[in-house]
Amino acid sequence: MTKRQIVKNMFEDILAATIRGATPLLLAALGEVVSQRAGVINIGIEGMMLMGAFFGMVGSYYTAELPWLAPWCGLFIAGLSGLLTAALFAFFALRLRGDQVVIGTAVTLLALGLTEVIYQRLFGVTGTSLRVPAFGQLEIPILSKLPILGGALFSHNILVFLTFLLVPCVYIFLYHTQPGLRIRACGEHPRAISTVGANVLGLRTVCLLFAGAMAGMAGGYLSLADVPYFTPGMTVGRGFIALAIVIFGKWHPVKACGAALLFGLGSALDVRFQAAGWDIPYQLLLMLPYVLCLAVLAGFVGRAEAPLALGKPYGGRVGTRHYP
Amino acid sequence: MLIMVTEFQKRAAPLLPCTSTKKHGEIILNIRICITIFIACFALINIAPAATKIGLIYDVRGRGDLSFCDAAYAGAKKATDEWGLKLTEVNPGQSADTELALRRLAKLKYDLIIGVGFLFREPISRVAADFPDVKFALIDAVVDAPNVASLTYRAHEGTFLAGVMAALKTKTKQIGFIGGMKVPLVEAFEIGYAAGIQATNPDIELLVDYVGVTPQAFDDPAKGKELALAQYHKGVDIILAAAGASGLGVLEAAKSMQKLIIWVDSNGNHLIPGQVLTSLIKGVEISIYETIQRVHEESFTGGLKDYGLKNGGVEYIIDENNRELFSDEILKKVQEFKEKIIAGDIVVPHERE
Repeated sequence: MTKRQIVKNMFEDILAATIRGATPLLLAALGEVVSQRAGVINIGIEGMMLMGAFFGMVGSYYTAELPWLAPWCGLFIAGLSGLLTAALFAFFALRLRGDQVVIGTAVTLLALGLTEVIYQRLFGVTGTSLRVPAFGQLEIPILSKLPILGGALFSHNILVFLTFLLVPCVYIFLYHTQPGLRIRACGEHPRAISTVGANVLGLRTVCLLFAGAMAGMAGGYLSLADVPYFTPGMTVGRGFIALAIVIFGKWHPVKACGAALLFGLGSALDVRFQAAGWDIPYQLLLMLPYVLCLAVLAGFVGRAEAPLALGKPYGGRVGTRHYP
Repeated sequence: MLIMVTEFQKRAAPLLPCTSTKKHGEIILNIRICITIFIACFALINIAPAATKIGLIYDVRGRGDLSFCDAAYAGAKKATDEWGLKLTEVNPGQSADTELALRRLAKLKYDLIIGVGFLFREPISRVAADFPDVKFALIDAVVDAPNVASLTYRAHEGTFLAGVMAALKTKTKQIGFIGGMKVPLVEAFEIGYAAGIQATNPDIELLVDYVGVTPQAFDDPAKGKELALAQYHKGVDIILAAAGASGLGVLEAAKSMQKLIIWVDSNGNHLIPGQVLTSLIKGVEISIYETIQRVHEESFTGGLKDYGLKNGGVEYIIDENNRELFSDEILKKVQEFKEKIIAGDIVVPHERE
C-alpha cells in the first residue's frame, strides 16, 4: 500500500467508527430532545436503553426462525419495552408529580436489576450468551462506491441510516409544525399554552413515551446491530452520555446530532490511538471523548439555555403554585 | 429452633379464640400442643437432611459470560450433583453488594462460600475474619487466612503458549491483545503472551489495548468490537481477548473481518469454527470441583492453591474446530515449550520488571 492509501484507509476507518459510535447516542438523544423540550427530564434513559437492549435480544431470539424478520421484531420489542418503561416513569413523574430526577434514577436501577433477573431466569440455565439474528451491513448501491467518503458513509447497518434520517424529521416537527410549537411551549411556559386549550400533561406524556421508545431502540441497536449479544449492564453509561449530548446540543436535534458525532469521533480516536501502540497510558486515551466534548463545550458552544419549565411538574390545584 | 417454637406459641396465643369456658380451654390447649408438635416435626424434617451447602457468588459479570463465571458454575454443578450437595448461586451485580451477599451466606451457615473473581479479595478477607468457622474459597486472588482457600492460576503460562502459536501463525507480523481492565491479573495475561511471542520471533509487533478503567470494562462488547476492528484494520491478524464479556465484541469483529482470535477462560473454539485459533482454559472448573470435594471429604485446608500447566490449571484446547489451523510442526514446537515450562527451564514472567 502506498502512504496515501494508508492515510485514506485510516480516514475512512475513523469516519465509519465515528458514525457507528454516534448512532445509539443520537437515537436516544433525539427522543430526549423532544421530551426535554416538553419540559420533562428523562433521567431514566439509561434504564430504558438497557430494557431495550435486553428485550430487543429476547424478541430477536424468539423469532429466530425467520432470520430476516427477527431483528425487526427485536427492534419493535425494544422500542415497546422502552415505551412501557417510560409509561411507568410518566405515571410517577407526570401523574403523581414526583421529582423527575429521583424517579429517573429509580427507573434506571430498576432496569439494571430487572433485566439481569429475567436474563438469568430465561437463559441462565444454559449458562451461555446467546447469539441472536442481527442487522447486517447494508451497502447503498451506488453511493457506497463513491471515492473517499462512500465506504465510510454508506456502508452501515440500516439503523444507522434511519437514525440520521430522523434528525431532520425531528427538527422539522419541533420547529415547523404546530404540535412542535405546542411541545416547545409546554417546556417554556406550560400555563400559557394550557390557556389556549392544549393539554399539557397529555403532550408531555406523549413526548416522554416517544423518548422511551427511542431510548429502547437505541438499546436495541447495541444488542441487535452492534453485537448480536446481550450482557447485563451492557449500556455502560451510554444513556447518561445521551443526556449530556442533549444539553451539549442545546436541546436542538441538529446540534445534538453534531454533539453525538463529536463524541463518536472522540471514542473512535481513543480506540485508534490505543491501537497505534504509542507509549501513552491508556487511561488518558479513554478520557479523550469526554475531554474533547468539554473543550468544545467551553470553547465554542457557549452558554446553554434550558427550556424554562424543564423538570418542573405541572398541574395540581390551580392557584396554589405558579409555573414557571 | 426451640426458641422459635416457644416464640411462635407466645405470638400465636392472643390470636387463638378466647378461652372463656373450661371445655374450650382444653380444646385450645390440645390445639396448641398439636401445633407445637407439628412445628417440631416440621423443624426436624428440615434439619434432618442437612446437606452440605455451597454458595457461589459471582462478580459483576455473572453467569452467561461464556467464560469465567460459567466455568465456575460448571465445576460447582458437577461436584454438587455428584455428592448431592446444595448449590446456591448469588449475583450481587453491583460490587458494593458483594460483601452483603457473603455475610448473608455466612450467617446462614453455608459450608463453603466461593467468591468468583479477584474483586472478592477485600470482602472475603473481612468476612472470613468475622466468621472463622465458615470456609471460603477465592478465585484469582490471595487472602491469607486459615479458613480461606485462595485458588490462583498461572494464566501467564497459558498465554505464553498462545503467544508461541500466534507468533508461528501470523502472516502480517502483527499480533494484538485486548484486555478488559488493567489489573495485575489481566496484565499477567498480556505479559505472558508478550513473552511467548518474544521467545518465538522477536520481530513481531504486539499491539495492546484495554477496554476501560472500571470493572465495567469487562461488560462492554461494543467497545471491545471497536478496539478489535481498529487493530484488525491496522494489520493485526490474531487477537487474544482477555476482556470478559467485552470479548464477545472482539469475536464479532473477528467474524466480520475473517481474522483469528484467541479465546480465554472457557472453550470457545466452536463459537466461530476455524477462526478461533485456540482457547485457553484456566482450571477454574477443576479447581472448584476439587475444593468442593475437599469440603465434602472434610479435608479442606486454607491457603494458596496454585494451578499451573503442571497440574491442569491452565490448558490450551485443540479440537475438531481448530485442528486444521495447525501444522504438526507448530504443535510440536508448542509442546516443546510446554514441557520446558513444566520442567522449569522457562520461567514465564507475570509482572513487569
